[in-house]
Amino acid sequence: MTMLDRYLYAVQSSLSKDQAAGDIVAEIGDDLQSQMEEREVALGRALTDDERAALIKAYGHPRVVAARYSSVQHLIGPELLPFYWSTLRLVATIVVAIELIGGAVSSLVSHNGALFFGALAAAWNSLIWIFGIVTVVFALSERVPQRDGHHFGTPSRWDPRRLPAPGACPPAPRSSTLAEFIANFIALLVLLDAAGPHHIPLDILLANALADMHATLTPAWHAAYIGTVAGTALVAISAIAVFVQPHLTALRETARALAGAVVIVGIAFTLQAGPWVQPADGALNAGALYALVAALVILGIQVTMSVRALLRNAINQAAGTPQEIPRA
Amino acid sequence: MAVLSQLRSERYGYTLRKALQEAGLDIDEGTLYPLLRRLETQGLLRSEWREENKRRKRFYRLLPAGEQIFEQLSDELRRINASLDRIIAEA
Repeated sequence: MTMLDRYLYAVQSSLSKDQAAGDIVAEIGDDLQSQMEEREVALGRALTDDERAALIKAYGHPRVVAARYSSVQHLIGPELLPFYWSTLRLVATIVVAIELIGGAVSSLVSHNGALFFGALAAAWNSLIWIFGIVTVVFALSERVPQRDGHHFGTPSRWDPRRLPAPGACPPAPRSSTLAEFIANFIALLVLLDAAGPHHIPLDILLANALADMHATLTPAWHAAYIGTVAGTALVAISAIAVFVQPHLTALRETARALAGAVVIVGIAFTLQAGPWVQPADGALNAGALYALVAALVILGIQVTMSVRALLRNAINQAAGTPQEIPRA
Repeated sequence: MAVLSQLRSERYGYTLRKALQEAGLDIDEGTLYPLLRRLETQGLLRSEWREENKRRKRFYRLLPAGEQIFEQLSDELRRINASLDRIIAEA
């Protein structure tokens, strides 16, 4: 068996079953043979083994040569790539966020910090699985015959008339939404910890300070506590959604306004249900009152700004005029 | 288009590549043969194995649909060239 025969056999082995492998290989063999003969005529002598090897090598690696006859020569093509990346980001962010939040909450509830580190490891494993599964699905979609000229996974029913007006929903910077999620996630952990286990130093400090003063918080705080937990969770979840899809700024402002309103209602009930610290008389109660009123004022400003941004957004969208990003 | 132009007369792969090379268009074999196969699948040319100089060779020739596409592409190229010439002249 000559070197050329071995090369052609290697090319044939790399061609898929549905291709006319014999035909393709015969043509490649004829082309290489013609090249060798032409070179021999030019040199006036037979080619050496090294010269034949160089000529065959210049033709290309057998797998590369065979791959050129394939109808699809990429794993995920340019038409599917944008949807591949957005799907990968969306699925990875949602799954990892759920695993981390679940791990953090269960570690607080069960007083076992190891559960959170277990969730971290699980999240890493999930990332690898998500990458693999999403890639396989899109690679298969690339190879499935197209329906109506569209690959599976690409939105075929989009309507140019329903696209957002320029700047009506300006994208939120990812750094801002990430910071918002982290801040609210930490706040949620502190709040959950404050209700029971007291693992977090801030909660321990607060609990010790109250114990030193022989004071305790009254059940009047329940309403403010529940409102704050609900509001914080709402903002954290909306931050995940906006991180994945930065154009959902209206959703972020709605979540902020709603969360602010929920906390305001909770604080209002708490204010009504005073005293807030036992024993009831003394400076601590006055301090609690001022703190609650200050929180109401700050939240009122936040809700007003969010509602204002939403209204401006709606007006600009109706008018189709560009708008600056509402707030970071 | 260059391949279509050369296949108005029958040629086999190697001579086609040499003809293109001599005309100043050096297409490597890894591009040319898969391209010929795709053009044949699209019904623009036909191929036939025949023996020549004691070796079997695959000969290609343009089909009427290929001639039509070639004419269309030639017209389009002439239009683009004319437009570019005008744009460059005005610059």
